[in-house]
Amino acid sequence: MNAIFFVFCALSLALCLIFSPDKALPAMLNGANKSLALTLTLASVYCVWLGVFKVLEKARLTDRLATIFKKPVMKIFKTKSESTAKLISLNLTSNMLGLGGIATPLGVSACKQLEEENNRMGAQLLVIVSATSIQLLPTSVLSLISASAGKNPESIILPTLICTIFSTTCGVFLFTLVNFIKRKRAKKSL
Amino acid sequence: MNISVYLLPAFILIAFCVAFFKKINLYESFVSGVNEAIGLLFSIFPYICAVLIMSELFEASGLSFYLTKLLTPLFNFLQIPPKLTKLILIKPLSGSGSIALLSDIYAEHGADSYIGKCASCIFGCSETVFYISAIYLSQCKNKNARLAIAISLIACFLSCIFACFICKLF
Repeated sequence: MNAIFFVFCALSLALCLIFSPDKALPAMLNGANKSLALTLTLASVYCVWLGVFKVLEKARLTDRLATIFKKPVMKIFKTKSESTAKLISLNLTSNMLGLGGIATPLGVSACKQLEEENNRMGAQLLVIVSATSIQLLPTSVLSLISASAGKNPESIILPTLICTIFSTTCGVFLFTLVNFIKRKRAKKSL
Repeated sequence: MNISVYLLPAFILIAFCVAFFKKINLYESFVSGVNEAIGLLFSIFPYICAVLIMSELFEASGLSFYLTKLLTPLFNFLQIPPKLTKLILIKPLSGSGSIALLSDIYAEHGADSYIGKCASCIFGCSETVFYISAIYLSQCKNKNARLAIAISLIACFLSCIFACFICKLF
C-alpha cells in the first residue's frame, strides 16, 4: 500500500505541477471532505448493524449460522478459532447478498482476529475474496439501470453472476498458485 | 420490488424477538455493539481518508485521463470497447467515481446496449480493490498487502475481459 500510495500521489502531484498547479490542493481537500462524508454514512450503517450483530451474538444466533459454514470456512481459511470462522461466514453471506455496508465491519474484525492467530494467508485470502466481490444480486447496478430507464435490468443478472464467479475463482486460484510456488521454493532452498 | 426490502426488516425483527424471549438484555447488547462500531470507525477513518485523497488526486490531476489514453491500444487488442477503459481503471480506486461513470455510460449508450451491459457486468464483478484492502487490513499489524492487492487487481482485470466476451453471447 505504501508504494502504491507514493506512486499514485507523486505522479498526480507532478502532473498537477506541470499543467494546473491550482488544482492540487483543492483536490486533496475534496478527498478528505469526501472521506468525512463517507465515514459519517458508514457510521450510521455500522452503528445499526454492529448493534444488531451484538444482539445476534448474545442470543447465540450467530452460532447456528456458523455451524452451517464453519467446517468449510475453517478449512479454506485455515483458522482454528470458532469466533473467527463465525465472523468470516457472516462476512461472506452479507457480501453475497450485496450488503457491502454490513460486510465491511465484520471483515475488518475477522482480519484482525486472523492476524492475531498469526494467519496472514487467511487475512489475504479474505481480502481477495471480498475485493473480487461475490454478489448474488448486483443491487446497486440494478437500481441504477431502472433509474436510467433501461428496459430489462434483469437481463444482466446472469452474465454478472457468471463474471463474478469467474473473478473470485481467478483470485483464489492465483492466490493458491502463488502460495504453492512459494512453498516449493522454500523447500528447494532448504 | 427488491426482495431485500422485506428481507432485512424481517431479519432484524426475528433477531430481536428471539433475543427478547431468550431473556437476553436486548438493549444493553445493542448499545455495546454500537460502542464497538464507534471504536472501529475511529480506527479506520485515517485509511479511508488517505485512499480517497489519493483517488481524488488521481482524477483531478488528469493522470486517469493519460493512463486511459496510454492503455487504449492494449484494451483494443483485448477487444474491450474504448468507452469502458476509463471505467475499468477507475473501478478499483473509487466507488463513487465509477458509479458516476456508469450512469454516464447508460445515459450515452442506453443500459440495454452492448456497452451498457458490459459496463454493468464489469461494475458488478469487481469491488473498489484499494479501498477494501486498505480497510480490511487496517487493523493488522502486518501491512504487507502487496500480494493480496496484486492478485485482486489481476483477477478483476481478467474478469473485465471475460465480461466483454460474455456479454456478446447474451
